[in-house]
Formats: sequence, structure tokens, C-alpha cells
Amino acid sequence: MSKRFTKHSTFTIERSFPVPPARVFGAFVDAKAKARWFVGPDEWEKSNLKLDFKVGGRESVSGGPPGGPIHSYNALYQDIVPNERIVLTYEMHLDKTRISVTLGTSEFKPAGQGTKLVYTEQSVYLDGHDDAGAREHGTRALFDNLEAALKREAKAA
Amino acid sequence: MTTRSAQHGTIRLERRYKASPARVFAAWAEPKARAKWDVPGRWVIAEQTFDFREGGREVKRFGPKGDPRLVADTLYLDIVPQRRIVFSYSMTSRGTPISVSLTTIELSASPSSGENDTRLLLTEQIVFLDGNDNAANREEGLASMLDKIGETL
Repeated sequence: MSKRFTKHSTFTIERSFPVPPARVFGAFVDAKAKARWFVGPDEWEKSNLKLDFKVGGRESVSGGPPGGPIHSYNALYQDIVPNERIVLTYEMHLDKTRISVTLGTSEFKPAGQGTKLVYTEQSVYLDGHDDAGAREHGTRALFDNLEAALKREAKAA
Repeated sequence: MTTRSAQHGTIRLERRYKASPARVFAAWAEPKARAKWDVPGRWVIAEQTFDFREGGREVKRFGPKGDPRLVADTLYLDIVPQRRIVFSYSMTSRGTPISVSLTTIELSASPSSGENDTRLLLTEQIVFLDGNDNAANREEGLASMLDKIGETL
């Protein structure tokens, strides 16, 4: 009988952006905008991101290092308040193995002319796969990508 | 205008049941068994769909008798028969968001007392939305349901 165990953990990431909440929120609402930043490392092979941005809608994307395991992300949108909040749950698979399930809350708060984004991730890690440290590191890298994408957008405007 | 807020919390509850893990698991897996406990206290279930499998979605409308205004929309994410159930659910009241939860149920046979002694661990990771519920209230509801499982077993 395989070992079954779980680890529950929570982390929060805060980021400030010099653009208003509507602009930051805009980077989450369609596949084209989100694919600019919601991606793994450059050298990874990846699928197209699919996104149906509505309560009850789904999102999926997968990728991984060449020859390595495929990381698959599948999300369900649970609560959306335009320009203010997104709550979703997602599961991660490594090839065929489900490694974690997560409840993620993104809050977009006006801060002067800009935006404070507060992302809270509550996860259960399954059977010893992944761990909160690696997940937080990866999630911070995604927000670095978001920051860069918003900067590129501001320059192009 | 609604003041938006998000309060995060984790609720942990433990129970011991004088029944095998298979029978405790059936309290979720079998529609007839589930109907006996799946609402807190004296509240009633007005409507409930059943789709207990990984990827299955269920909708339950429930609440006080005469006012079953709450809707729980559940997605089953990870099911290991007799061992583990992971599911998410959102709760709304006539469309107003109340909370979103990620719930882990873990079952294990107690090694010292044999087969008919199951330890259940419930871990519910929650975000309460816009101040429409709180951890103390939710914990009371969950505890009531786990006690009902014990009574039906």
C-alpha cells in the first residue's frame, strides 16, 4: 500500500505596481494577456494557455523541461469581482500524478496611483510531492514576469 | 457599495468513529449515507446533486427550514478510496459570495484498537469573503456534521 499523507500550508505574496487596479486585473482576464506572464522558465516546452474567465470557468496550461516531467495546471474560477478580486482553486499534476491542490486568492487594492496586489495561496501537498518553499519560489517568479509584462505594456503605450 | 474583504483561515477537526474506514468513507461516497448528515444541526437540504468522483461537481441548496438560501458548489479533486477525499466548494447566499474552501478529509484505521476504530482528520482551508461568515461559525457547522456522521454510523 503506498504511503498517503498530506501537508497543508499557506503563504502570502504582496507586490506593488505603478498602474491602476484595472490594468493589473487586465493581465488576468484573458488567455492572451495572461500567457505573457503565467509561464514557466524560458527553456521549458509549453502548451497554449486556455482560459475561460468567469465563475465556474476553467483554465489550463502545461509545460516542463525538455525530456523532463510535464507540469500540468488546471484551475476552476470560484469568485470574481472585476478589478478587485479573483478566487480560484487549482490542481497540479507532475505527469500523471496529482501533487497538490490549491486555493488562491488575488486581491487588487488601489494604492495611490498604483495597485497593491496581495496573493494568498492555501495548499494541500499530496504524498510528499512538491513543498511550500518550491511553490512560493515559483509563484514569486510568476509575479516577476507580471511586473516585467506590465512595464513592457507601459512602454509600448 | 459592498466593502470587499478576504479573511483566510484553517480549521482542523478530529473525530474517532467506532466503524471501519470503509464505512466512514461511504458516508461521503454513498448518496443515501450522505443525505443523513450533510447539513449542520437542524438545517435542511432543499436540493442536492450527487457526483462523487474525481472531477465531479455537486450543487447543494440548503439552510434553515423555510429559507434554504445557501448554495454550495463542490468540485471533487482527489479521492483515494477509504483513505482521502480532497474537494473545493464555494458558498453563496442568493448569489452573494460567502466563502471558498479547500477541504481535506483523511481516514486511518487506529492501529491499537483494530478495524472498527477510524480516526478522521478534517482540514478546511478557507477564504471568507466580504465579512459574510467567520471561522468560529464555520467550525461549529463542520463539527455538527462530523458528530452527525458518528450518530449515523
